[in-house]
Amino acid sequence: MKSLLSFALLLGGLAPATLAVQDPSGVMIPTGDSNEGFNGLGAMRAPKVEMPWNRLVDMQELYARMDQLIEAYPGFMSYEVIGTSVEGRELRVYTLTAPGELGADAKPAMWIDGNIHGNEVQGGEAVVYTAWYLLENYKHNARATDLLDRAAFYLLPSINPDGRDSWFHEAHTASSSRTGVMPVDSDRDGLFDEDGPEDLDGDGSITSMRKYMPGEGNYELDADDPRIMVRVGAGEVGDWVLLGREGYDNDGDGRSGEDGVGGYDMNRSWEGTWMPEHVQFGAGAYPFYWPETRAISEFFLSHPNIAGVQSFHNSGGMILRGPGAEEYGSYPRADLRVYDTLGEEGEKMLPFYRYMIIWRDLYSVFGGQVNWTYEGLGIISFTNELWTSERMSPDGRLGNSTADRHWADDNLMLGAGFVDWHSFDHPEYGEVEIGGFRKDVGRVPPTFLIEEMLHRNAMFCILHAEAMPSVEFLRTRSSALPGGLTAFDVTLANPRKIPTRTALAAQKGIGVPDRLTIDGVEVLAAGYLTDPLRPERLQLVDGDPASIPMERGVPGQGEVTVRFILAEKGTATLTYSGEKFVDQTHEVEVD
Amino acid sequence: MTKTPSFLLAGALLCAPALAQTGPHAWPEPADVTRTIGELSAHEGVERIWLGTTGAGHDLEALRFGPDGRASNHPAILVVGNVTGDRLAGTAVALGIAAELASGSDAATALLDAATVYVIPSANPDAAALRFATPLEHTVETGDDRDTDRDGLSGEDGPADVNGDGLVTWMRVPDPAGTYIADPHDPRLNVEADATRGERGMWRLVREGFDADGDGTIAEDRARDAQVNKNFPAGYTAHTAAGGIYGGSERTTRALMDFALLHPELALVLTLDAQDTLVSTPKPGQGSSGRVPTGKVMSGDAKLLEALGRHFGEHVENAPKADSLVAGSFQRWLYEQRGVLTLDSALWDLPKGAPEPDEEEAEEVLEEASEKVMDELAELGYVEFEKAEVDMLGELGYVDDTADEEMVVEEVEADKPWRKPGDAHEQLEWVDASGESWRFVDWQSFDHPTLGLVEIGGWAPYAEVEPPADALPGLIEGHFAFLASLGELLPRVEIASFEATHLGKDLWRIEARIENPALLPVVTDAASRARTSTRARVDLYLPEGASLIVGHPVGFVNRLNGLGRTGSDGELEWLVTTTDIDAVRLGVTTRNAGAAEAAITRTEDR
Repeated sequence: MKSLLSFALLLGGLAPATLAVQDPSGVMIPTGDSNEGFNGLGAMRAPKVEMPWNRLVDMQELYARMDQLIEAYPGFMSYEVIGTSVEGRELRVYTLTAPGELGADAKPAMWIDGNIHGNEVQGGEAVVYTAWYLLENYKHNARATDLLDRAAFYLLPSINPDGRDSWFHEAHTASSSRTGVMPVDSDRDGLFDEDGPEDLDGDGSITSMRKYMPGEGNYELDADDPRIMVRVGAGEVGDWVLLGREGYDNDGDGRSGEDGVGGYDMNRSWEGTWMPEHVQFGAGAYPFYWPETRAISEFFLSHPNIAGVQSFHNSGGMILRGPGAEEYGSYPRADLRVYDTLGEEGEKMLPFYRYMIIWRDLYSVFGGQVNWTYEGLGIISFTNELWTSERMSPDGRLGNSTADRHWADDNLMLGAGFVDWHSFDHPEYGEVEIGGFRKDVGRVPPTFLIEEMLHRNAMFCILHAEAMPSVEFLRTRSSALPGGLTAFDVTLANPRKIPTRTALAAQKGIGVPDRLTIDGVEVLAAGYLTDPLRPERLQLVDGDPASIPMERGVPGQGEVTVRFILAEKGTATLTYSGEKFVDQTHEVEVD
Repeated sequence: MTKTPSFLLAGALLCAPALAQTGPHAWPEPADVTRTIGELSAHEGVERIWLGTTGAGHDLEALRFGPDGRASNHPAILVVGNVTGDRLAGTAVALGIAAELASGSDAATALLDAATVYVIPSANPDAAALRFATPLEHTVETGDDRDTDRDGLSGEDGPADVNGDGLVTWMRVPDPAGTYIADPHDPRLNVEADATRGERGMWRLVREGFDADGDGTIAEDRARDAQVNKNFPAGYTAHTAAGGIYGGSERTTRALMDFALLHPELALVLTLDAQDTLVSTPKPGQGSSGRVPTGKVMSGDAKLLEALGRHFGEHVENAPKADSLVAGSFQRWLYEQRGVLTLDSALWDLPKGAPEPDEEEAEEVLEEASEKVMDELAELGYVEFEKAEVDMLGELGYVDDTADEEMVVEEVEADKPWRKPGDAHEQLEWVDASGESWRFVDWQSFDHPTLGLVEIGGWAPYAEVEPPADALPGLIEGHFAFLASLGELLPRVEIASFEATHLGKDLWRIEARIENPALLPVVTDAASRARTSTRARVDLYLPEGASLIVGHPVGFVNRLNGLGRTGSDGELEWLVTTTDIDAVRLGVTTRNAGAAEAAITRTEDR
């Protein structure tokens, strides 16, 4: 191995464009002059697939980017359509893993999705970016290579493709199109989706309406910047009123924009403290009521190898974990250690992001997606809220006031983000003014900050994926027992942060327990060796001692030792199998 | 004796081919249900509705009774049989009701004028089908299979027919650590030994089964675990074998919920199953009015149920008490999350104690008994006794073969006055007296392959929930009569007044009062809490050229309580300018109480 290395170094100077050194595991590491592998170092690197990471794109282009990766990296990625959205758009789950003997199903898998809320679009790009980055670095970076070799990724760029496309192609605010598009009678008048907001002035944005009413209003215009509305103090009278979002009363009930497209929340419809609609808005009539969420639930239930979950939302800069509702109680301590380790590392990777508990630090969410994937399925799961406006001025010289937001828009985007107030003849209110920030201001970053957001979040996913369990037979040891018997101690280790069975999975009996089997020698008894110095305290197992179901598996960054009491010596074949790691087999001579 | 209703003939025919394994019953198999639904749907005004396919591939179907073309918001009642899965009598009664509804009788016609009726005769066909399986096991588990004993295998060690008698019953496994002994009042029954009084347990009581996985435990991991009527997301508990993998994970569960969601016109649901809101009317408990439903009925609804329970008592005798709003059930989901009052009848339970025969009947029995004894004695070669002599022997206790047992019991009672006979004892008395001997399998010794000598027997599958066949006509008649009485109680919207008053020039003040003159409200307490779309919508139609000065063309009445409760808010008003006041019209629509229209009337000019 050593001679090969020097040979490669020697040749390095002769053919700089294509050469790389091979590290002991076979990974090709580009030499100084090579530009292969887009590994985060900027000098002269060029990815195999150039993708513009300063744009946000609709479904068609999002999928096209994934398809481009499939084509550029044959054998690494494929997709299956797991269902369709309400409007018939495909829900594509892309499976990413290195080709080889083991299929994705046999490896631990990291699930990443984005955009369950239709307007929270940049999660889609974050999913694509993660795939792109890993592929670009396979065989050029040891960790990326190891990860794609031993693990798989299930990637769903958008849970809500209807909402996404509506947000891109129709007039919206930053917050509208959160819902899916199944018609809902939001105002309970017997009609469905009959009174949404309207783009009255036809400029492609839903902004706000204000009306000049001298001496009768409750707002004034800011003295320095008349674009800004300032609420008057108590007992004072202003000259302006705010009339809400652009639109009018379509259904004659005296209200405007109260029953638009859809009107629910797909991130409230999952099992795991699911609550009915009147307790939790958007939940649907029963868990997984919305077809997109049902398709995903079926995918999860048929893929027990999923060992990590990341869901991308916007915005606010958060790394969220459950419980979503205080009523749930708390998570088992051993699992909290895993959450805290990943969450705290994530805070360092993601400036201004805070690691938070949903119900305690944000608000109560019943039936949240990552609540089900952990509370129902026992998988360590995070939701990241992508983008925080603090990134517009990292040193804090600009705050988050409306004036500062205007300053940033005026000076960093040449005023592109604001629709200036302009007059409009409203059928109900008479002459009004329409104006405000456009939909792509506030919850998504401006173009020049998109890539950083995607990269840091992709790295957080990789950190999480690297924490998915793996198992090795660390050591075996045999010793003589009275009566010609042999004690055969097998120590299993899991060097990763996440246990092979989370504490919750073990506690609630979720999934199938791991199993340790031994073949080739006659086993009379077996048990857990908790103290190697006091083997008489062996915790005996019931049932067949040669095939032991292990409910608690192998702890994260820990070991477990099983002692077999054998009638004879010989060649033993040990197998450790389970749902969330690559099964291991080990042949050993017991002597 | 009540007159046998004509529709029972149809019911009897459809049941005929499906003789159950144990009892003398003739329950409809899934195929019979399907066929009967087909036959009934050939009648005028009857429509067949497919709800979906169950997990095991059965069709889940309903029948709709009511004139074709009727508005979809005409109030409706849903009748559901056997959601739990082991209540085949519920299906038989539902089919009987369906046959009566299709018969065109006066009662049926009157009901169908007032209400559209949907009938789902067999809401859980997967479980119902297991009633006809061999061997026969009392089973309501049909869904998602769970590794109950956490050994990495699923469904490898379920209950089984060990002694080959065709039934899965119980085993008494001799065990010094066991907690059971024979009930001194009836040694066929098991009671827990009371160690504080010096009793020692003699056996464990376990389901009949093998230890198929060799783990030392019997029948602990059955092949299917989830129960449909514990799978509804109302009071649902995660991570239980019976509940399934999540609320609504079973196909049958979802098909039933989808049906209810498609029919917001449902004003009442009558279930013929295992729950009861009609005999022991549920009382509103603490927290019943909170935002999160807790399995308690809300106070206004409790009063309505009480009234409906009184109606029920007038038509159905001896209905049993049972639990209500059971966690994870269709009944609880319908009430708490759709806001529909569910009227639940548990139909039947095992009577307690031997029935007291009337004198005439008793004489007949004695007569028969005497003749039987004489015949037996004759067969044995004894001299022929005169009947009077046999009677005398009987009085002396010689031919009473229960005399010895009674003596033993008396001794026990003297010895252990603290041990009272339990319900099961009285139920066995009824079984013995009624001749329904299939209901209890006498304990038989059996050499179990892994446990050694055990006793196998006990209550037969379904024995405790299935009424005798001769109870069916009465159950159908009573429940149909109750159903028929509900028509006039259903909410219906009416425009009590719609008046215009001329105020001057072309200006008119218009006032309307909307009412519901029935007992039941348009919006129950539970519907109000669940915000299901049942409020009344009021549309004011103006002629061309008219202008609305005050009010909106669309309004809503949130509460139309009916006679059962006060506090409706059905009064609305508008100011309108028009030169054609007589052309103004009012329309009211609801989701479950019909619709009404009115032309305007003028009051005296002011």
